[in-house]
Amino acid sequence: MNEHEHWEELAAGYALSALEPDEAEAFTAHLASCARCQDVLADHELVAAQLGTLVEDVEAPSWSSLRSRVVGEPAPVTSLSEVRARRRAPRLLSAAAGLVLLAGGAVLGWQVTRDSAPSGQEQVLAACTTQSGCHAVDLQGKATVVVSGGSARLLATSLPRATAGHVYVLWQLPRAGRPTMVGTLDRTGDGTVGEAHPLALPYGETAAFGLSLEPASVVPTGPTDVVAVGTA
Amino acid sequence: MNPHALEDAALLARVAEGDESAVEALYARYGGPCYGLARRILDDAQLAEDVVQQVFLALWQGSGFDPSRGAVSTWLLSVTHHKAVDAVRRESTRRKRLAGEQVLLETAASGPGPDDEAWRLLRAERTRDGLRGLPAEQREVLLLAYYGGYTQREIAEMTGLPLGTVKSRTLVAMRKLRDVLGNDVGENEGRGA
Repeated sequence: MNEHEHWEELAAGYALSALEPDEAEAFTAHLASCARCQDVLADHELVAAQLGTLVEDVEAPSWSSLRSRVVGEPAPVTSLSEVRARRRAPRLLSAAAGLVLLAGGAVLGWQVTRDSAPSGQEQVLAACTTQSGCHAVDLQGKATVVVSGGSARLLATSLPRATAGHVYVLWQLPRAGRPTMVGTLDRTGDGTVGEAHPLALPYGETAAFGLSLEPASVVPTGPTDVVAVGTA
Repeated sequence: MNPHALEDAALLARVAEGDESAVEALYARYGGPCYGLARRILDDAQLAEDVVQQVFLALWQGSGFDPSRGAVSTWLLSVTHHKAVDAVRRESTRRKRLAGEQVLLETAASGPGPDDEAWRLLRAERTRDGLRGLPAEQREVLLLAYYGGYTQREIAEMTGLPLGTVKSRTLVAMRKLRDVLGNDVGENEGRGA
């Protein structure tokens, strides 16, 4: 198989969303500099879209039921797990009974350095742009997750103070599987820089990061009140 | 020619200007097919609605759609498919374990009946003919990927085929469908064939 055949196979799999994450990453990296593959992919995507038109007719939700989530402000639901977490919310307290999140964040340890000036955020972001393998993920303008060397650092840019008895929780949403808690952030303010916290999964396997507001009294099993999300 | 192509272009220009009624009009036109696709993959009304909401949010926010690369209808279905597959993989135990390509083909080949939405009829019958004309082993790997949401590696494990065979069969199947659909694919979708 010649090299182009190899890329064309990946293009077909990519158009069908059927590649493994590492293959998809390799293909998109190649795609950026290969006009031929861009054309091939465009053709494959047209064929794939044709397959999409062959499904059975079902009545779609009304626009009025979606409108506020499309043109309004609330954060979009980004994963099946979040949907399930919402449905599961009433059971959250019992599910996590006995595990206490201290309001100071001592248990799970987003050690927040509030003395960091906004320039601290700028320094972190500036360093990220020059550092190989560093990624900055915007969470809808409210915060930024900076991932470097397998650790995540949360920069709160426009995040209101957590309501009494609640903490912010950062989640890592893998491409396959359920969201994993990265850490908590109990105090926030513009310019806050959290300390680096290790991620459970490599960045390459991350679909998105999410920030939710959770009761401080228990360890959440999944995000309930999602306040911001960002695609990795 | 997609009868809606010009209207779509006008609506997209209005979406870019923040005209809410324009995105509503695009939803009226394409929300149904997108929802149908998401529902088919996820087998869950609420999750399918969430996917469609994300797709139109992306359209509203202007993230990702490049008019020079194709029609908005193609883009919407592509994004819907991608997000639906992502969602179904996040919860693999929920995924419908379908018996195989017979069930998938049944669904794909029956398809919607005639309706007044010309764009949906566009080449639909030819696509179905193309699917029917594929050798069963090629059709299987294609449909397990597209409607089943399986990766090619998973398909290899399910079928016992070498991964390379899954990939090569998929490529051949996609090329054949492309040939069946002909040059009008590109022209009708607003880009050169």
